[in-house]
Amino acid sequence: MRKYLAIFRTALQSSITWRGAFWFYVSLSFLPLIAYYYLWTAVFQNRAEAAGFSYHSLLTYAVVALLITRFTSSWPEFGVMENIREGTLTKYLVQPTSYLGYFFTSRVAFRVFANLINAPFAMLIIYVLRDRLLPPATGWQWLATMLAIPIAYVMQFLLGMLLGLVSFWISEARYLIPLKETALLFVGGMALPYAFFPAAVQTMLDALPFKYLAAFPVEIFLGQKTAAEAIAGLAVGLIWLGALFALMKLMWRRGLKKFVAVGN
Amino acid sequence: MQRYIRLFFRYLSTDIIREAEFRGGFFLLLVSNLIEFTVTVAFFSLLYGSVPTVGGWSYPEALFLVATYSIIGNLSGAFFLRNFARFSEYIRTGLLDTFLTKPVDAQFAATLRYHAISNLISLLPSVALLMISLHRLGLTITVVNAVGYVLLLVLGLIIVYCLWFAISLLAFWLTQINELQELWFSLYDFARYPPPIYDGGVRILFTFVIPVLTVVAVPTEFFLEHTQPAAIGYNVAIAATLLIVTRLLWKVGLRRYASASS
Repeated sequence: MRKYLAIFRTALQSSITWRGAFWFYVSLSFLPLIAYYYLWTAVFQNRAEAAGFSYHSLLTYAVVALLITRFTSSWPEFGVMENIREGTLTKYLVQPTSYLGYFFTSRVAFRVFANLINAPFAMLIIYVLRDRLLPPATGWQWLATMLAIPIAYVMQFLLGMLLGLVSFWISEARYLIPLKETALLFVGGMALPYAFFPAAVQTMLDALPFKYLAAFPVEIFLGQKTAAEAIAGLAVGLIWLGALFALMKLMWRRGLKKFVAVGN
Repeated sequence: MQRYIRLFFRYLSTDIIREAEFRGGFFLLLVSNLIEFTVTVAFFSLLYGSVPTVGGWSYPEALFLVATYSIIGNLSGAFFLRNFARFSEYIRTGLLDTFLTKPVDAQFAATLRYHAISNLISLLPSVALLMISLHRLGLTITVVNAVGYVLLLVLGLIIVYCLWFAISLLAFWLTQINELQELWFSLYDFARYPPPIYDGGVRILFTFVIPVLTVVAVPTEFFLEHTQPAAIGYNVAIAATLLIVTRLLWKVGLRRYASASS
């Protein structure tokens, strides 16, 4: 445990050194909300309802979905791919901590620091739109949303790791990184609520883990899920995390054999 | 001038040869581009599945806009991306010296040296989408529309070059940020939505101060006959102004660079 605390502290210090860059990336990450705001305002100019949403509920969806993805984003794939491609992975293999544990701890430290910078942006957005947002009516919705957020975070981390570990087999996998931001968040329901998708696609998306990135927590927040559905969803989310973790371990072990073979 | 055109094509052909050597990366980049394009089109198809108009624009009009957005995005990706993505590195590591000492204009060499050939291939689905939306709109292509549109695309590309270059030039001052091009991508994202949705300060900002809406909206509106041909004159003026302003910024930045490395 102490080893991981040390990793956490070092990673936190390193993020503080790069605070200028953090401010830059964080402020960019909130820019899409300006376009979404104008888009939904225009859409609801001559109508009261779209795909079952009112203007205020859709605006709430857009804001909460963006905030959740921004507060839970994790990009381990950059570091993993670099370590594998350039062979710097060996440096970590001889250390007394596991590489995956090291990576998770340092990402959490980055996230803690980035969220400190996220916070004022989030408060500003909520303040500006305060008259148009619909907060949950009940306490359990708040609680269930808060429980879904760590699942979203670990899901982002694991999906990023899976992508990163692909570079054991495909050396140019880094060209696929932008897809995580666009395609993954799109199927996760960040840009559009699932209600806009055709019924068949909705059924499919509901059976996949990507909804835990945005759609699932936001639907709880908006009261579109019953308490029973929320609890069942959280349980299934945990099962998905377990399955993705197992897949990551499998890829890691397989890939490492290949990596060592190449390194010799 | 002729020498620069010849040099440009020489740069392009060396990049084609290089891409042919690293086919794996080329293929993945292409897949990545195509999926991004699909996601953008899917967003508008799904949106218009529940809403008949957005800002007064119909579905086929929005598709024409998205196709134009994507054509300019791919062309600028093909010719500018790899250069501006490296610009901060040139400055930080001093690699810029290699361009400053060459017997050609350094701005030309540093900003138009590298090409992403995969973006030229991903132009094809964008052009196909343009044709589909034209067919759906029931519009016939006239000589005036076609020539005006292509001219406005070229002007749009010049404006993109200038805005992206101006952002990259910030690297002379902001040495901590490696990925300045992300700022460009974030701004360009605003251009894919029907322009009437923006009003007030944001509209003024993105039309006059950082004319990112102008790049995509003006060719589209010209072709769809939402706007007067005089719009071409406006874009010529913007492009010319930006070329001069960025040239001056580049000179100012170079002075800072020279003093920093000595």
